[in-house]
Amino acid sequence: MTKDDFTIQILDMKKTLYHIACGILRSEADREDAVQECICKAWEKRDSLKNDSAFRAWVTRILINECYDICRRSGKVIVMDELPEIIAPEENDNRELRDLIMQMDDIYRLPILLFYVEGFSIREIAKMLQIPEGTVKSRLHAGRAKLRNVLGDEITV
Amino acid sequence: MKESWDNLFGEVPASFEARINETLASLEEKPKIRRLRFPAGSLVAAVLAVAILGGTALATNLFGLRSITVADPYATPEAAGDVIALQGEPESPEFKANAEWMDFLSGYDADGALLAQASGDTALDGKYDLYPSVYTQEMADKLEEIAAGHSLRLHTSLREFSSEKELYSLAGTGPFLSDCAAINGYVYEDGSFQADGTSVADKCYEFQLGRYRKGVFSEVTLNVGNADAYEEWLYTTASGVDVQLSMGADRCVLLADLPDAFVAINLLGGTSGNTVFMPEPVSREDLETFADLFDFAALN
Repeated sequence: MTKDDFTIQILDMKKTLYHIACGILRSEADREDAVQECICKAWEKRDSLKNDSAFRAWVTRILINECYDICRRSGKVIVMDELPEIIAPEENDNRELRDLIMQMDDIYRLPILLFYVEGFSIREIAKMLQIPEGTVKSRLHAGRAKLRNVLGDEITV
Repeated sequence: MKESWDNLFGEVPASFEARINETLASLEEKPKIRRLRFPAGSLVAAVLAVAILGGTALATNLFGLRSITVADPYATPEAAGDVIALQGEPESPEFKANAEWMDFLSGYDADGALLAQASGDTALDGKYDLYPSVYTQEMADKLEEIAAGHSLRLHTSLREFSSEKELYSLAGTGPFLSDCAAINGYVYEDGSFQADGTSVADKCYEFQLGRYRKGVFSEVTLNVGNADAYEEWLYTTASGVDVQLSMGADRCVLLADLPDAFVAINLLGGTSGNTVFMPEPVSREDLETFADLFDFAALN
């Protein structure tokens, strides 16, 4: 993969990278450190990616690991009274939904973000989070139940 | 559906986008050293396995986390807490070497000027890539000096793994994990390794595991918060090995001292039931159940 190709694909998924970093890390500085490490690591290991079509899921997995590493290195955990900061005020009902997602436990929030926001498949999420597909489904189910008051029955897995 | 969800988080902040662009632009220029807020090695916890040799379990003394705390070169107001070394009990050469190294790092390049100068520097011998704290020749020399002073070797290579089978093969151990759903990490040339794993028994346990062969220098440490805030006791696992269990609000640490290796496990959950990785509270019984998932004897 050339640097140009790599750059294009990274820039194309910058929203995804930001969403994932927001899902795990509270501070903007940590998110930026995580994405930098992620990009460097993906670049260094790009030759190990055998199928370019898996690039997006692969980079997302690397970013998740980097975010967790930052949590672990700093001894940080995201607790319920230290919610990730709100990105920007919005005028529509999405704010309520977003806040609800960001207040969820991490084990529910990440599958929700990856599945509903980023559109990854259950199999891809299982691989990213290194948990069985059944666990992904159960966490989505539980997460969805928590969102149901806001979303009604709109979401199905 | 996705379009509406995209609106949830608003625009990507300019600073985040700038960091992406900056990183992409520097990829070929600075492939080796990156700007890190926490340049230390990873915080993999080490499981101390007391080996059973000839059917006889070694006794692990209850030394407590406090006794293996070391200086924290990377302490910040937001990441304060006690840091422990994961290579041995307090009197071991491996622990003493780690403590000496952390003392050195704590007083070195406090303003980061040398780190900034070192960015992109490829003059250092590649073997120091395995010691991510090292970024100047002076540090490399000090590392060698400390290791030699305690008659320890330095690691020379590592290989990554992403399955139990690969781990056992690379580490040269027999199977030692039960109910493991996923595990990945890297193994050094001598069979020392660091891993992140998930085991699903009565509940889902997220953990980090480190095996440190004796006679080798490692700089891995773990921030445990207040080292005095742990309930600690010795537990004899189902495999007959004594392990020191330390149970805290947000994490638990399992340590065991084997004849040829020191093993530590960092369970990413505690009594608060309020962590990113394990949202359910961990009880004494849970922790002992978790300890029984490891055949520590096989980790020697």
